Amino acid sequence: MAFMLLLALLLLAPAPAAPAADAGPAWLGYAQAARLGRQDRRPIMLFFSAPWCYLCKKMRRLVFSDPELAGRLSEKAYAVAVDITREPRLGEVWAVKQVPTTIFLDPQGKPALRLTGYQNRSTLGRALDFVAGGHHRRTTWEAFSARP
Amino acid sequence: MQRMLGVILAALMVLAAPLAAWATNGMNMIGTGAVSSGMGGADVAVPAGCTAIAGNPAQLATTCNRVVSVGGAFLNPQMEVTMPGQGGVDNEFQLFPLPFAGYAQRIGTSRWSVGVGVFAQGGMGVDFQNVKNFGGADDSLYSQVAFMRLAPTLAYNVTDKLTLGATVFAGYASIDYDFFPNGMQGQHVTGLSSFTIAGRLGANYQINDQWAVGATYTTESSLDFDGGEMRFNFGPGMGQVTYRDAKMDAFTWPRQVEVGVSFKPSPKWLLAFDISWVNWASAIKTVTVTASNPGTPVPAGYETLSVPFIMDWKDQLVFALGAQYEINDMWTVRAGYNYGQNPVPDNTLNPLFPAIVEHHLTAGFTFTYQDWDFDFALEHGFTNDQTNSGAPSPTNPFSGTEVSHYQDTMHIMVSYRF
Repeated sequence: MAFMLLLALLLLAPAPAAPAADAGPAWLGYAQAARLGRQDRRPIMLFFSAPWCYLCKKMRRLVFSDPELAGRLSEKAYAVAVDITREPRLGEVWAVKQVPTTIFLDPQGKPALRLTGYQNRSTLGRALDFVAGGHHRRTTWEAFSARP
Repeated sequence: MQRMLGVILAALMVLAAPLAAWATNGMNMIGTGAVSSGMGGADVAVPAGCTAIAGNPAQLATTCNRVVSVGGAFLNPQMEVTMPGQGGVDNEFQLFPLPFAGYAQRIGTSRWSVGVGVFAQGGMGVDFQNVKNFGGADDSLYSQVAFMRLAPTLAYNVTDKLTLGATVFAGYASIDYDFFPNGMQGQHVTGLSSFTIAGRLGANYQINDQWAVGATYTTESSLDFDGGEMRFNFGPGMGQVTYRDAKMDAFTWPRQVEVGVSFKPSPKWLLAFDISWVNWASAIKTVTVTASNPGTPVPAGYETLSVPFIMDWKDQLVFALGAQYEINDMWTVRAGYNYGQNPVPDNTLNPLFPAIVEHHLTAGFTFTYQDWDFDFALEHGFTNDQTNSGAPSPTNPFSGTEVSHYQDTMHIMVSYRF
């Protein structure tokens, strides 16, 4: 029975559509985001990835492509995607030891939150609220993310 | 070193006992892990975590940091043997646990990934009780072939698109069997074991965001079983004699070539197709069990016994087709189909070693919670019937015997990323 249910789930899944470029927030270059962040007093989200990183691609596909999250990211922060194989210097500057790593900088460019590994939509959405709302100055991420 | 590895693998086999698998692409599992199995074993060009250790080693390079996976499968074969002039006899209930444990990590943010794992490569086994022997008395047919591998693995991203991988397989296999032990010339063989080394090379090429191709080559594993004991039934008069040294020659785990392609028609869909060639024709021909050092005096000429099993398996093509759909960032569902040509010829079918299932349908899912993945898959091997069509002879005692076989397997795995 379970076998048939799973098969039915697959068959009922939306039919493959024509491939589309990953939707997501407006990705900016590092220098541009740094300048705009200072100017507009918005935080910056640095997303460190690599071409071989399966979980990075999965985050692009399933997390950053979410219209609601992408909209909030574009509205409240500037997003920067860093390929550590092409920009290894940025990886060194921010001491990236693994990918995916997501670092939020406050509007002054100081690190406010570092998340390593795969992050789902919910966690990333809360992380955005944590930094964009200035909560990182008053409480810890652990305490903030534990709130209902 | 070999001895130490053999001891480690033997210990793992004892912990996992009874380990004998009723494997289904010949003696191989159709896939290792719930992800691969859920896609019908189509995994050569599909990103994998730890289970790349048992699949395409190049896919280990999709590991982003550190991951540990533990799980396995539970396999329930259903068989029936019908010998000429007898009614059908069902296999005794069997549920074989097939463990998997692995660890993989990327070395920093470098292009290198490493891993190590231990897993059940395959095997086979039957347990027919109350089947009539050639003398018409109640007797049994029993076999248990188990093969476990320890696999250190290395993968390297040569370029952003090309990845290569290599695995060394340290394998440990064991065989026990009963061939009508209560009848004339019956045999009860236990304790045959062998340590073996083999290797696998793998490659994956990511053509673009949609298409990827992969390939693997696996060397054959020569298994020289020894250390066993045979109780041979000479019938009335001499009775049963135990030979304290038994060995088995010419039993080999085959070389294998696999090619696969994966295609993402949309961001959430993944389709995969593999073709494998398994060189059973070179691996399983005439397997000979030799017994010596009898425990009681035997007439001249019986100090050493030689029992040939003429099997002459055929090369096998395996086709695997799988689909995966990511519902959201927590749920992924899969389905697959696997067809492996039956490698057992009609004229040498032996109910002790009937690896005859051809068609499999699979389905599964992954539930992701934070850094945890919970994988599950079900696999059904459809019934296949085969009858020994060879002429009766001393080396083909099962002429006219029919074997029917289907099976169900449940795969589960838990992975933690850190």
